[in-house]
Amino acid sequence: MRLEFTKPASFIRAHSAWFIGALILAAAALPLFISDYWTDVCVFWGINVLLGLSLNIIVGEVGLFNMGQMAFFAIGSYTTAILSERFGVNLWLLIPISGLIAAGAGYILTGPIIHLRGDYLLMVTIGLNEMIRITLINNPFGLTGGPNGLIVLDQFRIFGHVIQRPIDFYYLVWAAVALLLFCLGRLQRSRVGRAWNYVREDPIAAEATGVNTRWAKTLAFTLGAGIAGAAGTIFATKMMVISPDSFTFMESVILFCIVILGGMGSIPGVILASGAMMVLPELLRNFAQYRMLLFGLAMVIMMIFRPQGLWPSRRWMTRLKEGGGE
Amino acid sequence: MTLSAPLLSLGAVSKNFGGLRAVDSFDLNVKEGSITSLIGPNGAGKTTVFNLITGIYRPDSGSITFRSSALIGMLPHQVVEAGIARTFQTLRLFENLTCFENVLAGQHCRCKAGLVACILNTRARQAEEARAHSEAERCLRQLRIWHLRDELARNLSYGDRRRLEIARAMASGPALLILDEPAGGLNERESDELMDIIREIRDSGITVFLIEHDMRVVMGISDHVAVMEYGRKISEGTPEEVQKDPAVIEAYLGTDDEDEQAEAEADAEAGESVQ
Repeated sequence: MRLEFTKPASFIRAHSAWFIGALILAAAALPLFISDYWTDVCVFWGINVLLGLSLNIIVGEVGLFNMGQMAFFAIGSYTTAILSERFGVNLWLLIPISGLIAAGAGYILTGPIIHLRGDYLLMVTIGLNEMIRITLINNPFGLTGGPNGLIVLDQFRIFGHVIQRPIDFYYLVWAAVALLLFCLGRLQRSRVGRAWNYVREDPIAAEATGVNTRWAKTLAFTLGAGIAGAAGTIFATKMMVISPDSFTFMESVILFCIVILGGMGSIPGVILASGAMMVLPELLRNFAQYRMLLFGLAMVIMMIFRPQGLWPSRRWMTRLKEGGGE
Repeated sequence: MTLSAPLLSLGAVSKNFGGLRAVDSFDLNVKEGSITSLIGPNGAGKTTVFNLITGIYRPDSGSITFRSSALIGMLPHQVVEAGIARTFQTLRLFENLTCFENVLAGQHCRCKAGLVACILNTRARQAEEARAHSEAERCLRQLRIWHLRDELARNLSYGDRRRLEIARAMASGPALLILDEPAGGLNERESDELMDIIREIRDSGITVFLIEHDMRVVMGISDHVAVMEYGRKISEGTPEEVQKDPAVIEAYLGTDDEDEQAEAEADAEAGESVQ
């Protein structure tokens, strides 16, 4: 299986600065031209991109199969709902707080299972997802509101402006995506990102070459959980009502598919694939009952014809100055 | 004879796999600045010795000392940090990464930048990265594969793959380089070049400890040779001494298929135990 780079991708790469600028402008202007309904679709697309990117670190960069990412999203969302409604904590503060709590949960929960590989880890993460969801339903200490969930009435405020319309959320979510993209881009090109890829390629060789594989895996899981948790704050505020139904195993599966469909470890791939997962069902609303069927079919077709994903991850080519390194 | 303490010293090291005694009170000293070879029939336990040194296995008894500190109980990546780098008998490259990225892996443990430093791209991180790059370049040049730096590892020819793995090990700046059958599968010309490279590495001050089946290579470059059979050391000395030793001659004429199976099993376990 050879990775092949499609021509449009290499064209975009050659003129990346222009494309990024044009893309940002287009994205900023987009909600002015589309209805509130479609703006809302784009908001959820953005939230899915945040989640997809968080899972991409774990599945795409390090190759750890995690089908329970929604557990961390749930932890972040519920942290926001509880702290905001009961203690009146500012929502802006809750983004890092929810992120940290989800990251802490990720760190603790994956500690005992991080050495598992492939399908074994997959099984355990599915269990993790269900454990968290069922715990939320059981309403421990009266905190989570059981099957009905919790409400979040507070709203983000920025310089006296309340973020409540779809277009406000659109800018909030996609600004978060842009920030995350910037950070992940930096990471991919760094020692940490390389360590993740070494572990994905061959964990034994990575360890024998001096990479602390346990550190690399734990870091990826913790960071991925943290990002999902922070995204949970935006989600809870947007939805205003959160319940265990939003964090089912099926949602985790869809997220997992987004990463595989986009191309493991590929950031543009995640954006494309989550767009396809969000926007296409909206376009095909009349066929809603066949959604899962189409979905399965798409996965099968993808695996046969394009196993490397929609937008395969670009191998980071080290650019060296002529005449050698510095 | 030098009076200085050996760089690496194994004292009565034993390792059992179930009922099989793979390594049986094995003693060995590797002198600093030497090229030491470990030879023996298939299944003699040579690779197991390497795995014991590099922390992939933990010996059942005995001691392993490197630069007069104990290695036993260290994880493989800690052993690399301590200054021992290795290659694998069955090549283990990062197939989907470029040669340059492969070699940069060796520098990972010599860099410190964490998550935050990498996101903020701090000055310290940039300096560290530049240092890692120039070190990786040096190793690629030393192994004469600098021109292949942007090639994916899986696209390389077999001989270049062997070199890439050595370059990756060298990039961690080791004091001791452990090579598991570096000439395996190479033709005569390639193994001649390899011998030159290994000598060059030794002359640059790095001690080399290798397993090898190709007697031309072993006898050509070794300062010191140890011979293993059934987990025990049966002979030791200069290449000339070892070649005349009747025990060695007997061991080499008496091999059979069972030994190969034993080594294959031991290798398979080596792979699983790290996971």
